[in-house]
Amino acid sequence: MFRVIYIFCFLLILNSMSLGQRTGALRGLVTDSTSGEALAFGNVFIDELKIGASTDARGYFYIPSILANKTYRVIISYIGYETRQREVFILQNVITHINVKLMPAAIDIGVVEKIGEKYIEKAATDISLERIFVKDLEMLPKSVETDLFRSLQHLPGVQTVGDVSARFFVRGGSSNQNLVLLNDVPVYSPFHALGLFGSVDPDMVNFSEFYKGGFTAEHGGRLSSLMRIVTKDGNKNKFGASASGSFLTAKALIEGPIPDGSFILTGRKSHSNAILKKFLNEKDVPVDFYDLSFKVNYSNPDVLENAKFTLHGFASRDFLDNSDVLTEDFRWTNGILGFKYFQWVTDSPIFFEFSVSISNFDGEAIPNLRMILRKSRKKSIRNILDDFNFGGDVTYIFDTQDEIGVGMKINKVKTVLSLENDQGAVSEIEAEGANTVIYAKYKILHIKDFGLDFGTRVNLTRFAITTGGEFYFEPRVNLSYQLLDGIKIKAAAGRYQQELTTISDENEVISIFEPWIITPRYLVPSSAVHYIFGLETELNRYLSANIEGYYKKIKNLPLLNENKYFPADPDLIAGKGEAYGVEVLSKYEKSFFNVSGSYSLSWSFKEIDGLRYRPRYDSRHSVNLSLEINLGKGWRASAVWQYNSGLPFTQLIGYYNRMYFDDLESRNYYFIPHSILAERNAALLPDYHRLDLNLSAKFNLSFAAMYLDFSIINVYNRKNLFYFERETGKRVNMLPFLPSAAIKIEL
Amino acid sequence: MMKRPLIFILLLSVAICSCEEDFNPTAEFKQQYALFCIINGDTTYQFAVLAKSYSPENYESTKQKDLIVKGADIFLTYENKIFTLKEREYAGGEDSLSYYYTDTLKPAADKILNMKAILPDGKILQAATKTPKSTSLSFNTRTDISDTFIEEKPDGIFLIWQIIGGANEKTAYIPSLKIIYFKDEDGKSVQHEKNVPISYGVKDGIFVPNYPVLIHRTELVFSMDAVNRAMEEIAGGDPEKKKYSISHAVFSLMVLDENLTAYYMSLQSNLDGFTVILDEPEFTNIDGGLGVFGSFFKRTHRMSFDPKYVEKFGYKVY
Repeated sequence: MFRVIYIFCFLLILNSMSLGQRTGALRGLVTDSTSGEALAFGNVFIDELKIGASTDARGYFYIPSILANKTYRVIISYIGYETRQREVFILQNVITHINVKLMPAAIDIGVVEKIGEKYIEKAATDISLERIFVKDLEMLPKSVETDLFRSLQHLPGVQTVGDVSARFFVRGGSSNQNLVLLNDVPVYSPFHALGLFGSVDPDMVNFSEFYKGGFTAEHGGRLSSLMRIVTKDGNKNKFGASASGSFLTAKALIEGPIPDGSFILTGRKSHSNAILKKFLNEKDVPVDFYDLSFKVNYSNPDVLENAKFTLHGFASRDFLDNSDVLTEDFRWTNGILGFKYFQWVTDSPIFFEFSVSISNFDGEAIPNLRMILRKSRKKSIRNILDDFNFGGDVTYIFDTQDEIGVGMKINKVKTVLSLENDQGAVSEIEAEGANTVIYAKYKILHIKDFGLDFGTRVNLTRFAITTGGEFYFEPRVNLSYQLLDGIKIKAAAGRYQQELTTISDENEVISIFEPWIITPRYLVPSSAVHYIFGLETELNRYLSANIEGYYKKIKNLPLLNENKYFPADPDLIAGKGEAYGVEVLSKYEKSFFNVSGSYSLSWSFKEIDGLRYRPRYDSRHSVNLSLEINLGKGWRASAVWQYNSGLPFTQLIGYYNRMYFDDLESRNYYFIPHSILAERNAALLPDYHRLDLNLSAKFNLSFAAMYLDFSIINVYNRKNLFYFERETGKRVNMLPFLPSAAIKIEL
Repeated sequence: MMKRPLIFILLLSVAICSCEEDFNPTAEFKQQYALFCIINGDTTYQFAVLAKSYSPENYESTKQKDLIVKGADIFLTYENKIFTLKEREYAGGEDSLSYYYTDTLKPAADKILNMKAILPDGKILQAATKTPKSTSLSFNTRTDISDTFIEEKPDGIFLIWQIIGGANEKTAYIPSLKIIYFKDEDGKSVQHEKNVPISYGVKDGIFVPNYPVLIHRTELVFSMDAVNRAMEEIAGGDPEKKKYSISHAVFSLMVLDENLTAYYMSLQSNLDGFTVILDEPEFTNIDGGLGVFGSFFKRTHRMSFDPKYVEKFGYKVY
């Protein structure tokens, strides 16, 4: 720890040596001119100096060390917006602030590229990061409606076990190793309808960042990936509303200005289950769900200059209500409420943010006659998770453009798992703990063609050990180096820890919800190391390619004890995990059409009790090809073809008849066939592939804008195998040929 | 301009559709054998069933009687004495079954039993089990005693037990409570029994009994509501309540050994209507094969009825 502090002090001194020159700085906020929405990850470029910066997630940018007393031409660009130029006079020893409003480009003129990208992005250490914008998702073919989580499966390194579920597996990690943050608050069950769809309405989303690994020190708590979803602020200029409908849901959005701020409110509700039958082999899925989101923000320079206050919330509820009294009902909800205070210190390159939030998950299997009659292995179960987060972080940007960031977070979690025991009595497994973590990181950006982001998280207390504390370090390093013009190498390494886990049976290809618990005291919290190496190339103005190789090793992986027969047997036992692979992503982007292709070659393994096996989501080869065409006059078309080599499964050797008994004493025995299985997951299902098409249009009516969307999933009706029913040998396929349509009207 | 990508997609689709699937859901079939032998510690009559596995192609056509392995030599070893099981056929038409038995073995509690089966093809299956510690089972503890009298009690009928000297932590119990009653049928008094659930579940107005299943705890409560409802159900809709005479109740406890407990637990494998599980775990303690070799004892606790309680339902006291 002291060594890290030393290094920081040294770098601070080094940076301070550059102060005192005749320079000034430029800071600003880039927003959408029509809505006032912050534009994240846009480019701000000073043409004369060939320097620039990207806007951050809040739309802010900062360019230090600009030779003062001079006027510069500042170019502000953002994909999909008209580029703007501003003449800005830079004063000595002053941070000049500008607000820039960009106008959305007319759709028919195509996409406007970011200016100066090759200068700005040189030192970016963003390995394994994908930024996802909803407008890009809307271009993709969709099974029923746009879904943030389903779109992930098009990325190399992300796997699912079938069309049925939006649950995803990243670079060999389990689904519970993915952290989903909504406005930086964890969502514990971000899925609707047995995991078929994500519960975050894309209409609410401004952008999302998806890290497939190698995430830096400010984030933690999961071993594999991080999905950070940031919602819109709401229109600051005028009131607006939209309504849309698909075969599954109806939804509405209202937004508008409030004094010194704005608000946005969205709601979505399922109205029909008919389409869901297609996902579950024509089985009726009587699920009813809704989700609600809101965000209110306030920023008044007279109250507090350069400050912004945000209050946000999210609620989702699913209810699976069976009409059959013999079948159990299920209910699960998520709730989030958060508050943020962001402050950019006036005349100083310091900004900080404090946040406080609560997140709740509550899932319940509601008993019924089937359970009462003990005909179900799934007994009555209720899982409640309460998460309280409080924290803050401070970032200081040096004149050299280097950054230092420190932060602290207190995360208090309580999990309750109520299980019905053999006699119908309910026992509660309750755990509560606080994870106090501090992090510090330093970003070197001043060395030509080189970027380095290094730091560590220090866990002062852990969930499972609440008294006495136990230090756990999670050092992380990310770097990039511009090898040649258009060729950049990137690398990352880090250690990650996870103290929450789900009681998940990985043999379940469909599960209703996964109960969360704090890792029991008898297990050491799981940890992982990531090593990632990448090569990023820009072959010409339109063509880019990205290659990444990774290696991930997981220790103390909690796996369900399949041989638990007695109360004293643990529910979970520690296993191991290992994953490695190579991913290639290439894009050709022109104004009227985009083509992208990706390939991943991956291996993943789990080990339990000395048995090493491939998990069910381990596809060796994956290919994704996509084509997007702007047809003009508001019409767009896209096609996506996806291929995965066969997923592992366990072959059936044969059957034997197991002896059952109703009454031991009377020797009333009977026999029921039971499968005999071969080596676990040693065989492969047939390859998966599917072609999806989409056609969308936007019409500007006199009073509103209307969006139409038509999709066809599985155009050539490929019978992709989901699984075989063990006892009947019946083949269950994934999604068949499925046309769908959606309409949206925006006032 | 747009034609090329469309033609490419079309050609790709045709090429993909013509792909053959090289896939087999089954692995090479290997003959395996399953041995089931559950020793009842309260009798000298013990039996075992020996069956073979079958291939997935024969799933529909195979009957249990076709799977029985005949001509095997099966030996049970207890206290250094070897018991050879004899083969016997139970003729029941479609349900005909061949099994192996002995009528001379009654093991004591907390004793090791070994089993060895030599199959006609020379294959050997072996297993061992230890009978539960149940000879000194008491329905009282130092602090609590089980109810011996059934009467109207707000807290229900309470039962507790313990094995003196301490039970194995893997010992499990299957309890049951039966009301013994007599009914006048054509001038004769015929004995019947009524099983009492621990509670009733209600959904959409339908009452469903919740009978006790395997437990690891050593106490149990039958709710008064469940006992009352069971008492009412004895006569059902019969208005002639006086035809029924309530004698007594018997609380029975099956004490299962570790292997039988684990096997019993592995049988509880049904899921909810939506979860799809592919590879279900299973338990066997048969070395060289499948199945189970386990044991149990039965212990009972007699309970009498408060006459006022019986008369409340219109029944007679036997």
